[in-house]
Amino acid sequence: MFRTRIDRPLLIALLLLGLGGLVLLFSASGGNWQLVFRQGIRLSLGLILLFALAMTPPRYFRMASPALYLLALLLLVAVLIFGARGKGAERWINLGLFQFQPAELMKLALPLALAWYFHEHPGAPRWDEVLAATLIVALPAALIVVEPDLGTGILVIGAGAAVLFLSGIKPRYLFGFALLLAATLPLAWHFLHGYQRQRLLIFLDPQRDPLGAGYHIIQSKIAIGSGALFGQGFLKGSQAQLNFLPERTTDFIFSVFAEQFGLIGSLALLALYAFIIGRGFILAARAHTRYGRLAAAGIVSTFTLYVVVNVGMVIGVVPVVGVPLPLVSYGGTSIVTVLAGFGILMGIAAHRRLIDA
Amino acid sequence: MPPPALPFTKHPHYRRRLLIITTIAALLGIGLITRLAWLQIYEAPRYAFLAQGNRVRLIPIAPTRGLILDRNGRVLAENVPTYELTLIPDQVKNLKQTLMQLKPIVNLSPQDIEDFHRLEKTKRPFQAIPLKVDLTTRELARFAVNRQNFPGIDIHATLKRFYPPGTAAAEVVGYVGLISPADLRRLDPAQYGASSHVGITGVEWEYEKLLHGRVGYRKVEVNAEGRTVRVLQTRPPVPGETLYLTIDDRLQKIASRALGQYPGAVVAIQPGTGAVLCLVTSPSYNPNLFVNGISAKAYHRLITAPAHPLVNRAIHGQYAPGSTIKPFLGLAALEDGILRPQTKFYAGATFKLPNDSYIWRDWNPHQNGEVTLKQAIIQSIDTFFYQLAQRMGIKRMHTALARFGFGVSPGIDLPGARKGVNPSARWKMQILGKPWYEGDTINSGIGQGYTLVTPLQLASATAALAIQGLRYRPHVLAATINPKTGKRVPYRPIALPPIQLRSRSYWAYIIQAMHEVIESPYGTGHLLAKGLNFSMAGKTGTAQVTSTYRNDFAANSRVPFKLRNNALFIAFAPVKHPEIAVAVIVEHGGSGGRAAAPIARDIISAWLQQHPPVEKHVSHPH
Repeated sequence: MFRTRIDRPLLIALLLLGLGGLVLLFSASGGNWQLVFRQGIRLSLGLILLFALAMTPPRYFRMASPALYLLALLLLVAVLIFGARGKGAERWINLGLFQFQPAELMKLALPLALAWYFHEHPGAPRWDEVLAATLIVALPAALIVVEPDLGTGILVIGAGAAVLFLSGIKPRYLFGFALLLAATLPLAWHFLHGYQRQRLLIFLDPQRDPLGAGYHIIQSKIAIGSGALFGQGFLKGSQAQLNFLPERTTDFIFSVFAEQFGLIGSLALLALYAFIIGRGFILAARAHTRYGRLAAAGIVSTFTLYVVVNVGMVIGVVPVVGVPLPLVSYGGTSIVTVLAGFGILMGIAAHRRLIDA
Repeated sequence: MPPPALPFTKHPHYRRRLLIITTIAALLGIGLITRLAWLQIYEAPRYAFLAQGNRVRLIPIAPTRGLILDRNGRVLAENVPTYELTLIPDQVKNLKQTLMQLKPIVNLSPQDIEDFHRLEKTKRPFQAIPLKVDLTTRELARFAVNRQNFPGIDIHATLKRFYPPGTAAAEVVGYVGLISPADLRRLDPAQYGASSHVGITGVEWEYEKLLHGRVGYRKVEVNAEGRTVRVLQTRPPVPGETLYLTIDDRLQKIASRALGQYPGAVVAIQPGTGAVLCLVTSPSYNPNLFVNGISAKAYHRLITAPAHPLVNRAIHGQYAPGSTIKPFLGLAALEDGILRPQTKFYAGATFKLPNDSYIWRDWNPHQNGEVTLKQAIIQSIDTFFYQLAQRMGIKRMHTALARFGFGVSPGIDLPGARKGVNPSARWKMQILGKPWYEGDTINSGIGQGYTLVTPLQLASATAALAIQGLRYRPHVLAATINPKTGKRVPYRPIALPPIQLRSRSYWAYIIQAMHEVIESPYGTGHLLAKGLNFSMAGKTGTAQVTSTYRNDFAANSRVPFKLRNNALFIAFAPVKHPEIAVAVIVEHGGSGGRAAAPIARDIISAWLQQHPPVEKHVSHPH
């Protein structure tokens, strides 16, 4: 039973990434064992959750999806009211033992909720169903963006868009969305916080404020570039070890890796991610039910967006929006929700295999 | 169990669309890889360079400033240890309380605390910030016993410029001051990266390059906050050169003491080298006040003092030479054939130009008789020189004086030397826009009117006269010594174009006349002859400050001080083989023979005692 429910190649890849992430965290934190230990606890917690969810029949996920979505939505409202402030934004809820980021939960809950909705409304979505789905996406996205957490907001919208796309939505709706997006961009600019605008401008030209807003991306590129082909060696990156690189245990951990292991190492890491994503899409493609397909594909798409946005951010092709590198960046909520997502994915895949068997 | 029929109709295009999404993801991945390869291969050298720049800092180390010594090795400027209290904000828990506790121990003033808070903003929290500079030994001791109560507060020893002679050599040595933004523009920022002071005036300014030395560097690895992680390499600074000056500290003291309350100046030069033996201005100032920034109050006092202590009269002050110009004009008259040694003019109490009602008077209202040039110099007869000037004309006078360096920049290695005025018709037209009158020529004949000289020029010309026309550029630097290698580089005197006459006997004639100014009972400098144990030649001068009181009896208390005549004296000794030439100016001192001559004698006497002349007192045949 256990063997059939767990997808072994995916599990091995995830374990490799998680454990490699701990080693990297050790280097990035300047040998902070305590930090590594805490992350290890979370990794274990996530793995336990992964196993538990993989054992669960997918219909329970489906039934729980709306509730999970509502819970996440409620928490997002709560964080606006009671949230602990971190770097000018209210993103965390202090649960005593650890701090909890509802936005991370929403990244998982949203694709599930959409999958549930389309499962309940089979066939190519009609215009009213598209509108409802759009609302399901827009509500949490708006809450996350005003926190403000632009990066996660974009990821949530991206995941929603992927699920909407897979639901079989008609091309003319897609066209309409594209038009709407183009029309609202100037409006969105107006509602952005000063620092968010600054980040977007800095993305276009980091040198306009090399010691202020442009500092992160400049130092990150220096770290990655000076890693060259083979890297400077484990624990030997001057940018990371001498603290020039900011946020190096969280959003910029990829730069630490690229500095120490060079292009060869970076390619290996990206290959590992590619394997996980590819394997995820294969499992998603094999799913039977509409819920299973959309949920699985939504989870993998979210994960993909995570990786692309984070790596794109640290190498300077995406604005710095504060998205962690999944399973590697320090931070509890993300690692647990990501692993939970893969648990659900495995559960969905297992269901099909059980039917096949 | 066969797989159930999949409701594909209810879920159109799923697999195709999943493939599209996967393809998009793959394309994004390829994009990321391309960018990574670009950064890590193509741009890697540039980023490696930038990373190195981040990591490595050069910290400049200030060189020790060179010493300045007098000709006998007495210290004129040195570096003394000074102690300052520094505070590292990182290591102080309660800043406010700590400052309060320190207050009674080291006498922290509100100004000190204010300065500290200003500096605090510009530094990083792990950098030491000076809290109080120049701690007294008492404060030092008080802090030392309480030290354990003040973590993060330390005593930091630095070097501070100190001028042991104080006021006595300030006019030559000058002083250093804190580097100002204006200084930064002219200084090499690489060399002055660690220096806090720079020469402001005097030798300190003139030889800044030699004195400063070369900056050293510590190459360190730093982290992002700028904290040093480790030292990679050190290049020690090269200390500045030790400068030996030609100045004799003892003569400086004698001259400034002799001038006393009177504003004035004394310059002594070694004929045959141009070495300045003493250069004194009075009143002077204490250069130590300027080193760490003079207080506004003290500066105001110096600036507003009626006698202008900051003006270096010896090189910057311009005075009418009065009768001290007479030997030079007399020599020129002989050379130009205006008169011969035996030629006699009638010299009375007054002189008039034809077609002019103005009456020029002799300083001696009883003057009457036929006199030679020699007698005219000995007794300083004005009416003789009026006639001499009238015959020479200003053009010849101008040319002759220019050869002695009057009206010409002296080229001394000190900043601020002026060139005086050697008037001519062209000069008057250019500067004043007026034509030259014959009356101007007559005034110039006794060193009045437009003629202005600096004491340095007067001494330099006297030195040239003493050795029959050999001229050297005056200088104060004697030698430089490299403190590391001990290598001594002497200053090589620079010869100026010598003055050559048709007959050497003219020199002897004028020198003899100047000798008799002192030796002859009629000489205006005869006062000095008594007890003089060396031969000396000189010439008195009493220059008018205002036309009202110009006579030798004006130096009495009934005349307001500001309007009293300037007393001048030039001299050299020994007469046969001159070793020292002196010019003395005592502002409002009255008679040159009485106020200025004794100062010149004291200086010459002090110098010759140290350097006994070959010839003893020899009386020359008349």
